[in-house]
Amino acid sequence: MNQQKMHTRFERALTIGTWLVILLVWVIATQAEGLSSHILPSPQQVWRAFIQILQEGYNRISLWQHLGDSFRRLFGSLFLAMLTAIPLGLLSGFFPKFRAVIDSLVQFYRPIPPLAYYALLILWMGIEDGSKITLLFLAAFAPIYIACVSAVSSINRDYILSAQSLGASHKDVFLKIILPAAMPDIFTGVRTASGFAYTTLVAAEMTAATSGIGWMVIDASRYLKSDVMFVGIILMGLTGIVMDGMFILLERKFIFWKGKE
Amino acid sequence: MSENKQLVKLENIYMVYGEGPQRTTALDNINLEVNKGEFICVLGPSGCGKSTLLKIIAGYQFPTKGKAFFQDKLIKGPDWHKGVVFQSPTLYPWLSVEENITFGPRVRGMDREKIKEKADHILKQIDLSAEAGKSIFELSGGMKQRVALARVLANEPEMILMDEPLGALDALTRLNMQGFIRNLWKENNNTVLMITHDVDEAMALGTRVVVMSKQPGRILKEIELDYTFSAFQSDTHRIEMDKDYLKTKEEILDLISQY
Repeated sequence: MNQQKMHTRFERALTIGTWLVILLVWVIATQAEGLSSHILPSPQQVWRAFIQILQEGYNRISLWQHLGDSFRRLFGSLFLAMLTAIPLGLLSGFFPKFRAVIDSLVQFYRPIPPLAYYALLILWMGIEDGSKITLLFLAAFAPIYIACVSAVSSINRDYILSAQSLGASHKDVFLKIILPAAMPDIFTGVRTASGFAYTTLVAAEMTAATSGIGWMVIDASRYLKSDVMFVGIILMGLTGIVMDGMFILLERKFIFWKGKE
Repeated sequence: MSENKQLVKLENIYMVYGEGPQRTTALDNINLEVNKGEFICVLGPSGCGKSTLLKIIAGYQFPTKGKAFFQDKLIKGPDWHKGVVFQSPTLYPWLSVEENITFGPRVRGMDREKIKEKADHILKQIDLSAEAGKSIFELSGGMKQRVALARVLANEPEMILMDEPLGALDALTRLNMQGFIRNLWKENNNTVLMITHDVDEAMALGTRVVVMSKQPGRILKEIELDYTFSAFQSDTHRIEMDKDYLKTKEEILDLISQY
């Protein structure tokens, strides 16, 4: 037990060490002569840019507004995707006829990179949030749907039989057995979907937007504001980590039985 | 015994799986009657179709030929009158011990206060009152099987079907659980059909032992027993094994190994 604790502590030190080394290399590299700060800004410059954006915003839009716009698009579409993909996926897993209708559609569009049909969506819905949320919705729908279909097929048949022998109706079986039993897989699907939707979001904001964290980076690149680009990219990485951590926390709380059966 | 005491009637049941050369006959002309209050133990080697027999009564499977009746009505599917305890407990891990036990009464829309009362009573019966709020994964194997049993009892079914419920337990827990099942059967006046491959278990619990042959599954013999009652009289709560016990055991073992 104690040894294990020492082990994890050592591993944590290794992780922190890795980042310190990267920072050190960064500092040394930027102090070398002849390297333009447009190519590689120093950590100090990036920090100053961060503080400045924090105080004054970027392009007269505050940083919170940029992040808020991005997250509104992301969570709005994720919510819509969950609302539709979970019931459709579970029904598809349960009823082969249902699956025959939806499955081929999902399988067809799933491998297409979302940006390929983003142009069409803009054409139809304009460059405002509508087209972005639709894009992210489509990106997030497939992983959640597929997770739900496979979740149903992996449910312990005896769960369903025993519920029926206890007097459960079809509706009870669906809501009280299949839905909770599929929860761990659904969660994994939503987590995958959120990662995919996030990358798609940034790409979409870089293609067509007037705000958002992705837009901030692409706009900064047009004016060679490398320090701002760095701020944006680091923020994207950090928010990604925070988001995933949030999912892990939620998972521990709501699917407390996972891996303990 | 009057006619209305009969719960289950199986008439010339055949069960055939597969097609062509893979065709196997799992059950071959099974006739069986179960009366109220009986504790039937179905005994046989693995692969003799014991589980198929149970699934037909539970309503999970339908016979290829023949008729299966429950309370004089053709069995059309699973319902709460026929409670089932599986070999490995199928407790729902997202529910607590108490929520698992009250699942049946809750989906059947029973009165809330009544459910609570019932849950408290049953938890006491299975000696798990302190574990009511615990999660399923915190329980031991024997405790889980007790909860699975309690979940079925909470519904007060006409009949309880058990498919080798103690198969996965260690010898000591198994012995305790046998006593436990016997007490519950007596206290609640249940009708039980239990499948087992353990001759001693069948003889220690059953009021009637149904011996089945290896594939195709046929009923070789039905033996009426009363050893289970002797456990209520002894202080150790174990059954009394007399000379006849060994004789009967030999007879059963001979029957099984013959075919």
